[in-house]
Amino acid sequence: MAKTPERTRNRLYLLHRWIGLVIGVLGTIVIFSGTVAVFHQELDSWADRRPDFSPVHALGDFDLERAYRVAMQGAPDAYRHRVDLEQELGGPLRVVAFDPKQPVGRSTTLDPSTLRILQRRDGPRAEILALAPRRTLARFVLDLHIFLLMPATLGLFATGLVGLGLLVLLLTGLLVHRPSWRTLSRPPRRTKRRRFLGDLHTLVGSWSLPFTLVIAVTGAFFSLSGIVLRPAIAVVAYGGDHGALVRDLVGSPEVRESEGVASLRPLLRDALVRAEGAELRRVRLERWEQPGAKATITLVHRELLGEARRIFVYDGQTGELVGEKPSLGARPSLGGWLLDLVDALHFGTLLGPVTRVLWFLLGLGTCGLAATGILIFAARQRDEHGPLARAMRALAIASSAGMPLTLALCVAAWASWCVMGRPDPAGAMTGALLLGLATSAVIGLRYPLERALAITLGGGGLGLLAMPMLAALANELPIHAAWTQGLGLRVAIVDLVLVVLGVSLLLVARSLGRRPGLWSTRSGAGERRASGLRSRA
Amino acid sequence: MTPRLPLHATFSLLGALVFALVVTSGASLWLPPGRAGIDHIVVPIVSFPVVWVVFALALYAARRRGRAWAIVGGLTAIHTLLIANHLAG
Repeated sequence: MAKTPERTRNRLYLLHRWIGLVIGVLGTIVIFSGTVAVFHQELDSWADRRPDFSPVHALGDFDLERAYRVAMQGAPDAYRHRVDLEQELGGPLRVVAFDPKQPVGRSTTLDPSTLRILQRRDGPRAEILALAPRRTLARFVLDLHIFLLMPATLGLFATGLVGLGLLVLLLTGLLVHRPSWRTLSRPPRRTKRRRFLGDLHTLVGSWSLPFTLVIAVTGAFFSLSGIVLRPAIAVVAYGGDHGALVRDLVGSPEVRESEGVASLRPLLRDALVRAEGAELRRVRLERWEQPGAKATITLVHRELLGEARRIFVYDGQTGELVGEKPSLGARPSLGGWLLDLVDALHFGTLLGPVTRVLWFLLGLGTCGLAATGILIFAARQRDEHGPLARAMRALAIASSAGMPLTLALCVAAWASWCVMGRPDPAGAMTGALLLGLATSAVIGLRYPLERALAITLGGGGLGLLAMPMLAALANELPIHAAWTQGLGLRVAIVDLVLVVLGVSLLLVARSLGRRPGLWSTRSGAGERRASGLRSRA
Repeated sequence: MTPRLPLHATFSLLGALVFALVVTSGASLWLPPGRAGIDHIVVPIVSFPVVWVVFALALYAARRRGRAWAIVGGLTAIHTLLIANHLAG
């Protein structure tokens, strides 16, 4: 790699250090929650062990028309402006309809086999979309990742800036350190703390660079597109008409107004035949039973590597197929392909389970980058035992080893709220998040680095081991029964992963607790001598 | 003691945000819309983070910062004129 001129290199290094200090902790929270969120659907199944429902596409006698009638019985006409019928894997059929002019609507949950109403809610939007307490855990992780638990626009802006900051860190790090194959293949040198941390930081940063680059670019895109970029382009290219921009992006073909009302049952059957073997994801009815009615049926093919979406649009008056469209735009295009790629790259679905597992492992590895960076900063201070260096070490502990402990505390808060039968555990989980971070920081302040790492990792390991029991408790089920309830295999796999991770953390904590220092005995003994001299003075 | 970040670093980073926003928004006027009529919307939005970081690093750390500011400023000025001309009808 070409050499970066010295003056430029110094400027880049300064920028790298300061951006790292500013966004290090926040960035780690975003990356850690994003790593967990890679498996948010599995987390949801693990947290809410409801009875398994048959998928609609597998029910030969499923009558979509009847399901619609049952769900919309007695509903105001205004609600027919847009009706969504959706089914998650193993879940019931959910029908949601809103009034376009007021923030009210209806949500109906049906058993797809019998069309028995399991729940119906009419009222304000926020109320009818409110999740049952057991389903709030995965939502909390997603809200933490996307919004940092702040109000929507502010949260998106914050995570967008984190993404941009991460991009600066990657490129400045690359230009400053200019990793060669020699540095990439050499294990971290254990002669001095600063050298060990520097080598570890460069090694992890370099090897994870392609992944972190993808996450930073796509993450910044997702956060900033809706609040800054799309509105700006709407002003420039659409004279401020954001609705027209969205219509072009969605690209749903318009339907000519005519007479008649199509039956839904043959529409769904037609779509399932055209996309043989696909699963129903959603049916969207627009202006149903009115002139210009339209039905959009989205099906998903689950393949070995990734999944493919098929979207069919039907005339809601004649029942004729208007056409098949891609997920974005009216026909296949560069823009639609680009957005599908961004989606698959960010969420790790490019090669299905393979990339999701890879993204999970790389995400965990990347979480350590901020911590090692902050520790390097602490080690560079003139007084390594002064208040600034100690505060930096506390931050490093909270943003790395403290994460598993914090996660376990959040799950404990969620489980307690569910057991007590209280609605909306989000507040309790937020409190647990802050408690976990604060506890880890205090441990980092109180104890030397290795001991603080050992304590927090040990606590995190015990917390992860307790999580299967907490989830069983929240569902009021014995732990072994939970593996046969609902999506039992998913639950068992998540429990197994938690146990493996928990035991691994305990082993690492034990190893750290036994060693005098991660680096040479000489420097570790020097540190103890220095602190001994100070205490005698 | 870690040297402070110079003031021009903040100007470069924030300035790059504004410049990148103007350039990517303005690009929607000259990029072809594509088969589905959406490429001119999606391509600038997706490329915004990359455009921003290139501008930011150039403005802050280029060997000849004056030249970097001139190039980035020039690109922004051209797109500003494009936008103004389009909005004026």
